[in-house]
Order: sequence, then structure tokens, then C-alpha cells
Amino acid sequence: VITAWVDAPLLLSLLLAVLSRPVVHRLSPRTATPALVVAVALAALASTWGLLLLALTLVDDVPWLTHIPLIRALEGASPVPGVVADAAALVVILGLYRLGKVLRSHRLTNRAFRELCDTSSADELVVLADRAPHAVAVPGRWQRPGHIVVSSGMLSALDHDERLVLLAHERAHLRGRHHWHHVIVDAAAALNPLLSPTREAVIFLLERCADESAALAVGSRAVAARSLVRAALASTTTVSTMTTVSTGPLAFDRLNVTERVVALRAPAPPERTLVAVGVVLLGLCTTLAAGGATVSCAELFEHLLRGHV
Amino acid sequence: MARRTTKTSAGRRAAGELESEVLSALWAAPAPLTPREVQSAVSGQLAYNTVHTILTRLTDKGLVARVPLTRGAGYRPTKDAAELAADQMRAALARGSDRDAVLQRFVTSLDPVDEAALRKLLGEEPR
Repeated sequence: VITAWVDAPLLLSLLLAVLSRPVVHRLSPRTATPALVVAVALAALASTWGLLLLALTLVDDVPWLTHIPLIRALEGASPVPGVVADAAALVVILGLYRLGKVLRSHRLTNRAFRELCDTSSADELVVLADRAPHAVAVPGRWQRPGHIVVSSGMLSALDHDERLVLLAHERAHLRGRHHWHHVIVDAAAALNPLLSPTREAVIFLLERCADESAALAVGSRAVAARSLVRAALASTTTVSTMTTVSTGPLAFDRLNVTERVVALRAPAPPERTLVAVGVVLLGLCTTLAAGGATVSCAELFEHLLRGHV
Repeated sequence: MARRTTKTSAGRRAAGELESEVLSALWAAPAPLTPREVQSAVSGQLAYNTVHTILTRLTDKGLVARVPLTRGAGYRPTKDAAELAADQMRAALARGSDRDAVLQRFVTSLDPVDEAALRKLLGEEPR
């Protein structure tokens, strides 16, 4: 019974991954993003907890624990095949290792960029003397406003309205605390690789959110689209001295800008709250399944305990 | 560092945002700009006095330098701070390995097919 309960979050994670694509294209990024982030976080927690319960049935193999009667009783009585429990333990350990790596890389990168911003006397905009066009949002420390780091190459590639779009876009990242959304989905995908497509969908949606609020700030979707196009073209034609502007082999990354431009040129997507609620419910289902796994695991131990006493 | 004015009226932006806007306009310009030129390069609704105040504040911070022009004074961005920042960025990038996965970039570069499509698009857009 436990295995069935643990399978559920994994299957739901797959379903979430499959659904994330249509969700990205049909929903307004403002509703889709929080829904997907919540669902992904719940699914990652539920699947990891479920796998942990499976791995827990291995306790009877730990030599220095077998003197505890309850654990000795588990010997041979465990409903989980040893191979499954071994695999679950391996996935959990790998997941935790990947989680540590992801969190560390977030921390290190942010620290490096914050140090850079701290040395600047600017309130918000930190300009880099670099001909290659790039722009990033650097989140601030706790309760502190973040910074926008832009190269001089980017600023001179854009006209006035387009620069406003750029600033509004990065500001939207900072105000919306998109950095935390990014950390959450990275952590979730590290724990449960089945959620990787959903992670990519959320990262794309964060850009879309920022694009939409930039369009709102300058009052024109067309200008926002033009700014993106010009920045992307400038990035492509200039060779960076910093080797920052690298294209990933992922098709998603490559399609990124073009898809965002297409979305901005189309009318604003509708706020389908009902669909977003459905996505969150999907995440809640994984939590229920994890609850089911916990209950059946507790019942197993209770049964063993009663049998023993 | 966050020096933000309270929003007194709709459409009035925080001081930090106006500073960013003026600073980015100065960086984008090929030559020093007079306060008047800055005023027209920035959204237009800014009062001359506001532009002047922002320029003075940026000068005090060492982000902008005042240069004498034939008529009046012009302002240009100071390169020192930006070059220092660029050096720090280079150092930071040399250390980190996974930064591409972590950073939220404005855009990524394009492959030739996308580039051609976007160029065509830009041609259609009225500037």
C-alpha cells in the first residue's frame, strides 16, 4: 500500500510536467506563475517524503538498530521489496546532494553580485563598462531593495523607451521577488528531476511576468516587444569580453526571447483563475498522497508493534 | 541606500528610479548632455529643476561628472566606477560556475533562424 501512495506524487509530478507547457501558453503569467510554483513545491516535498518513507523500511538492515524489538519485527514483515527501498534511498540521497549544490550556487552567485553592488554608490542602477550588452537583476539582502546591473553596451543599444522597458523589466523581477520563485523551483527540480520541465516553465513565466509589467509601465506591448528584440539582436552580434552571454544547448533557452516577443505581440493572455486553482489542486493531491503514505506507514508500524507486544 | 520619496501623486516615481533613468540616458548618449538635453531624453514630464537635482545628486555620488561646454555645463557618466564594477563582475563570473542557471537575464542570445525572424519583425515595427 505504501508503494502505491508513493507512486502517486511521482505520477502527479509527471502530469504536472506535461501540463506545464499548455499552462504557460494559455494562462496569464501572473496567475500561472504562483500556481505552478506552489504545485511544484508541494509535489517535490510530497515525492521526497514518500521516498523517504520507503527508504525508512531499510532500518531493519542497520546492524546497530536491530536490538530494538520493533525494528527486529520489521525484518521479513516489510511490505516494501528491498530493491525498491534501496532505489528510494538512493534517489533521496542524490536529491539532497543536488539540492545542496543548487542552493550553494544561488548563494555564491548572489553574494558575488551583491558585493559588486555594495561598492557602487548608486541607489538602483549599477552600470558596467562593457561593450557587450547584458542586464541582470540582483536581489537585495533581507528587507533591502535590490539592484539592476546593466552594461554600457546594453544601454547604448537601446533607445529611450526601450531603456525604460529594460529598467521596468528588471524592477519587476526585484519587486516580485522572482529570485525566490527561482530558488524554489530549482530546489524542487533538484529533489525530483521529474519536475524539471515545470521548473523551466516557471523560469520562462518569470520572464513573461517581468515583460508584462514592463509593457504596463511604458504603456505599450509593442514597445516592450521592440526592446526585447533589440536587446536580443545586440546580444547576438556583440562578442562579450566576459563570456557571460552564452547560449545553452536547451531549446527552451534558445526559444526564450522569440517566444516572449511573440507573446508580447499577441493580446494580453486571459486570467483563467479556475485553471490556476486546478494546478494548485494537483499539487495538493500530491500532499494528500504523501499523507496517505504516512498513514499506511504508521499503520504498518502499529501493526508490528501490536504483533510484538 | 534606499532613498525613496513617498509617492505624492499618481505617476510620480521614486527618486532611485529617476536616478536610474537619468544615468542610463547619460550612458547611452555619445557625448555629454546638458540638463535640457537630459530633460528631453528622459520621459519629458520631468521638471527642469528635478532633472538638475538628480544630476547634482549623481555628481555628488561620483557617478556623473560635470564638464564645461561652450555654453553652460554638460554631464557625462564617470567611467571609473563602471570599470571597477566590470572588473568585479569579471572576477565574480570567473569564480561562479553555474551562474547562467541562477541569474535572471534580460535576454539570451539567438540562433540565426530566430535572429532573422526577429530582424524582420523589427523592420515591421514603426520606430
